[in-house]
Amino acid sequence: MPSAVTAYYDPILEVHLRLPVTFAITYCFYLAPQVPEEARRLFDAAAANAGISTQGITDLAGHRINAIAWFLSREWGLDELEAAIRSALEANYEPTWDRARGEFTWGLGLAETYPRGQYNGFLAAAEVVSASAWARVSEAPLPKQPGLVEGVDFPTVALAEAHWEKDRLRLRLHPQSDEVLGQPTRFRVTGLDDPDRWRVEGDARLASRAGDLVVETSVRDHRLTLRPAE
Amino acid sequence: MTIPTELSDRSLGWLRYLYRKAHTPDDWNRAGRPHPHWDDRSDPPMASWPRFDLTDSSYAVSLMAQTTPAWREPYVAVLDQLIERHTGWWSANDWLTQFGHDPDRASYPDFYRLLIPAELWGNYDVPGWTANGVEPWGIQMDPIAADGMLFYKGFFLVLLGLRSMIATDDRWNQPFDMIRDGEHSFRWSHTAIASHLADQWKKRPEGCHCENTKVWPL
Repeated sequence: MPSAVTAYYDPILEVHLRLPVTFAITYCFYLAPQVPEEARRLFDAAAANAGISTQGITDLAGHRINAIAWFLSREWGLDELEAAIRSALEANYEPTWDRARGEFTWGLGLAETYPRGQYNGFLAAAEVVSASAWARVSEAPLPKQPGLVEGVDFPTVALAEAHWEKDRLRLRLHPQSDEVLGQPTRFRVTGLDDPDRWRVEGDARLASRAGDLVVETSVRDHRLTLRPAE
Repeated sequence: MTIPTELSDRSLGWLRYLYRKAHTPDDWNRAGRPHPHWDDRSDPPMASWPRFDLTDSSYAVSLMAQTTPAWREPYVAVLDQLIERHTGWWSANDWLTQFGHDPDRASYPDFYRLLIPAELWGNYDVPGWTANGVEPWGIQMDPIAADGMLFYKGFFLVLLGLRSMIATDDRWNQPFDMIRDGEHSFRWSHTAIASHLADQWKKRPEGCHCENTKVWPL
């Protein structure tokens, strides 16, 4: 197992500075989609050196390293390790809701006015990532979709689900807060071959306007399925 | 392998936070100042610059787009705000203010010892001090064209690349101006930056440096 990692090389003085392998967890984040086997070997050494294991985390002050370790444990499907890291972060990194705004951040126990952006960035990525998702992001652009949802009144309403299953568009609306429940809302589906010939399953009305399919519904947590009319 | 098709409440809650943060007006030109919610204090001396918040905030939204591929609008809107800021003077405020060797290098705090070769302690710039102007490169005001600043142009390419993976347009391949400080305004595009960095790598088998004199593995 590697015990040290190159931090930097100075080609003028020909100096090579090495750091304990823990530092390599940051490298692993970028290596994972490119050379996953080497990244995993480096990660195993770095995590062990950092005290990150299925027993938990020994250094909670290493915010960036711990967040990246959580991220990679999810990317690689290391369920037992992921559970241990998640449990430690859940207890110590101050997950915080602003219910009025529908916003979620991690305070990290830092007692600061603004959530620490760099650490929150990695923690949020870890919250989102699933097995091999980071590799997929890096492999290829998102494929062309039969239609795209546009004009959603975000952040009042978000889409927790928006994907095509064959010729059906599956949507799930996600309200910002209780304050906005029941408000009328609308959005468009653009790029459809024939926007006049669609029907909806769920509480919504459809109309065809200016070449787009317009969906009129209300703000609440509910699902819609759009499918071609028969 | 099952690919998730729904975002968690927390993911959407963080997206709402980032969307508001990214759309809160501020000014990254030299005469302005980034809003204090942009993180310029984590992990000094190397990452305590506001541009790192721009890049680190981009990973989650690019992953969200994988889960809701039929809805990309908010992600592209956020990424555009991040990229816009990364064209401003404050995105390179280390490179544009740290000229020559660090005048404080004889009085660094003890915890910098980990970052500096022992034999050079007291006479060597800590990582994070970009040392614009030192020989053999001299002063180079364009952080993209510069021999150094790999971490600037490299992470900017990550940001631009993530946007290009989910957007249906090619906005940042239209030429845009960077730094925008009088005579120090530099025109680039996504492809031009990538081509320039590829050329730099071809010429330097040992790699490109980030801070002047320091070649990092990434």
